[in-house]
Amino acid sequence: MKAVVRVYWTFFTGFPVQRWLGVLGVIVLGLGLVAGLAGSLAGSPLEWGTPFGLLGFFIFALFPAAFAAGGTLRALSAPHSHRLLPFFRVRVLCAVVLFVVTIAVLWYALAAWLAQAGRPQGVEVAIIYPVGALTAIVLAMLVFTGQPNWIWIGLPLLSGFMQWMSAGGPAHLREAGVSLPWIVAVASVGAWVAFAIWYLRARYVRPVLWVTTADPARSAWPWGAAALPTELTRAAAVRVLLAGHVQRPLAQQLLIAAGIGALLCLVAPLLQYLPGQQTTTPPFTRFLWPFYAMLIMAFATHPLVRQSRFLWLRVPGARAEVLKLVERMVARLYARVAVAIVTFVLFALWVLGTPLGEAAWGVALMCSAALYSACLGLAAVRNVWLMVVGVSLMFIVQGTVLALLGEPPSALQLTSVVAVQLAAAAFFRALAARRWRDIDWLKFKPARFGRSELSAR
Amino acid sequence: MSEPVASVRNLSKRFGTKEALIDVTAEVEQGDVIGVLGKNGAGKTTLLEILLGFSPPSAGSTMIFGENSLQLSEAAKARIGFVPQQDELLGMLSGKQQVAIGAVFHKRWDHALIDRLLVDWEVPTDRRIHTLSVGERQKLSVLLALGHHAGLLVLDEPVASLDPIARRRFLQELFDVGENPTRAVLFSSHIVSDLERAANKVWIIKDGRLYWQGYVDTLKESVVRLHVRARAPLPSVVPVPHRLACRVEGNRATVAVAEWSAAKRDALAKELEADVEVEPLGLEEIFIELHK
Repeated sequence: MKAVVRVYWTFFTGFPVQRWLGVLGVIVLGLGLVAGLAGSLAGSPLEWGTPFGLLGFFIFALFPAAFAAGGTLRALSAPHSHRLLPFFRVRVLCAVVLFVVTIAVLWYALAAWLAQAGRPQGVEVAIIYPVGALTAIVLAMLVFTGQPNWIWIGLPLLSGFMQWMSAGGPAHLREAGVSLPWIVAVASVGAWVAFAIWYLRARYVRPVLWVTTADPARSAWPWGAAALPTELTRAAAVRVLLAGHVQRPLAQQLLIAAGIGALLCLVAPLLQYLPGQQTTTPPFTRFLWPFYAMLIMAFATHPLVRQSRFLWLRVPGARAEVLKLVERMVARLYARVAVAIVTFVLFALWVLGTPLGEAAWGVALMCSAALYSACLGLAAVRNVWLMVVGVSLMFIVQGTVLALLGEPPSALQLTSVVAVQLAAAAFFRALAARRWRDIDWLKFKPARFGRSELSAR
Repeated sequence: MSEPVASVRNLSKRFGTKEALIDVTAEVEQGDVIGVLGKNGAGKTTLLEILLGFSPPSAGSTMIFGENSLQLSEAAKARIGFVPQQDELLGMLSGKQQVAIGAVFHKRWDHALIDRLLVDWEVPTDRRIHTLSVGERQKLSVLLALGHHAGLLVLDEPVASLDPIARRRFLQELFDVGENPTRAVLFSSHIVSDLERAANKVWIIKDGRLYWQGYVDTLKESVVRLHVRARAPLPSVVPVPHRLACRVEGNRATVAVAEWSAAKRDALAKELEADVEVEPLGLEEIFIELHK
């Protein structure tokens, strides 16, 4: 039991950031209590404390713990030596289930508080949906931390699945009288049972592969690699060192990028044939698309920047010369992403009948978001934190302006998002030029294997 | 006197509050084969990587072939061979591809030498590097530093994962390099016996400071173990200058001392009224005594 509790506690404290956010969450929850007491003097304790309660819950429990749990689970399960510990996987399994139950109970308590405040919640909102969402987050993060490429398939699948469920789920089950909460409950339990069967029998669990610190070649797409040319030039060798594998010529890369963009757009109409699905793709002026573009470019740039150490003894001159080569490589990456975006949107005009204005805004939003994260990646040469903070901040800006402040967003909102992204891109480009003057490759090294920042307590 | 191949002047490096290197000054001259010794975390890798310009110093300066390490010209970089502590090979490439990538950056790449060494050292060249063993990767890593006949070869624990046969072959290559009076080698290793065989000079780093630098033979003459047998019981600490370690049992004592010279023996025997026997030490024993 003691071992289960220790593993269980690791789910809350395994990564350093969890501990910081945990403390912050507890402080905010404390503020909620104080606000509640102050409110009780004014006659409405719950109204005053509720915002703090919700915020504290998200900071303490949901964002750090739930999103880190998949990585924690993988980091604990991967070492061969752990398999020699008695009943290790059974204990980890018990701990992760206990963890999910804890978060669900916390949410239930919050729902009960909200109910007292005059916002009654049904059992599905108080228990079933949170457990379903937690199950999806933990298991998805387990998959994503093993092979980051699954993010590009998993995220659209998850958002499509959510959209499908919010539209009522499978039509034939609905018609048979099976309610959505029941479907979510059965799907959640089924997912955990399936996971447990696999987990207890699996001979090997892959170690954590952080996309931002891993060898970029390990997360490269199979169609991205080519044979080494017989007449190898220095420029091509530099690209191999940065990318970690032999790249195709730029024209071929752009053609493949255009193909991926077109394919994505052609897949969208197929979603219409899913039972109960009515919509195709969310509008391009939603924050989802620029956020995707930002993530793609961030994930591509940061590992590449780490590889720059390989160039130091091979490129004459000071660090600025290395930066120039890295920027050239980032520009090639950006060209690929931009071509994929433009093709995707052009096909949307033709296949999905997207209005021209929306398509144009889509291109502007996605391209500026990708440029922002490319410049951010160039500046993040001390550690990964600038990258994490920069992406999170822009996520908040985009989410606030494009999702929360009115639907559909106005031209002013769209312009402000593009302007903020371009201004921030210029700022980070200037910061990159400054930081590269004293980049320390003794500390900022390419991580050859998945590096885990997990430290059990 | 010719210009030093590499030099370090009053070098200090700080990581946050930790002082990794403190006021290090040293030179590498042509024909030197210098072994860098130190405990784990002593600052060996930090020193080598700062010297090569991977990391900017917190204070002081480093020069290679007369140029600032942070702004080396193409000519200077072309004369450097480096084997990092953890190999920096690209896992998705084959050994052959990795060699081709290495060769393209050097005009004077010796294809014949590398082809011969790849066979002699039994390095698989057709398999992807991520499928090779740690030792095979390390052999390939060392080969890549030898291919362009570097004027300065910097090797950070190059033999840690090599089997005895591979280590012997590596040392043979190092002897060949050492015989060339225009080249210089700087290498760190925990295998002191190898270092003793290959190096003519040694740098000992202790707690971030360059504790000792000079010829291996001078160090071996300088640090000895004294066996003292007095007529009367000895004090618990035998008063010998530059004492490193001391063990006393009645009228007998074993004392490790630095900065020893044969002339001091008689004076010490007279002062302690004792017979003093001098035992020369190997490099490994000296290293242990210096760290007691």
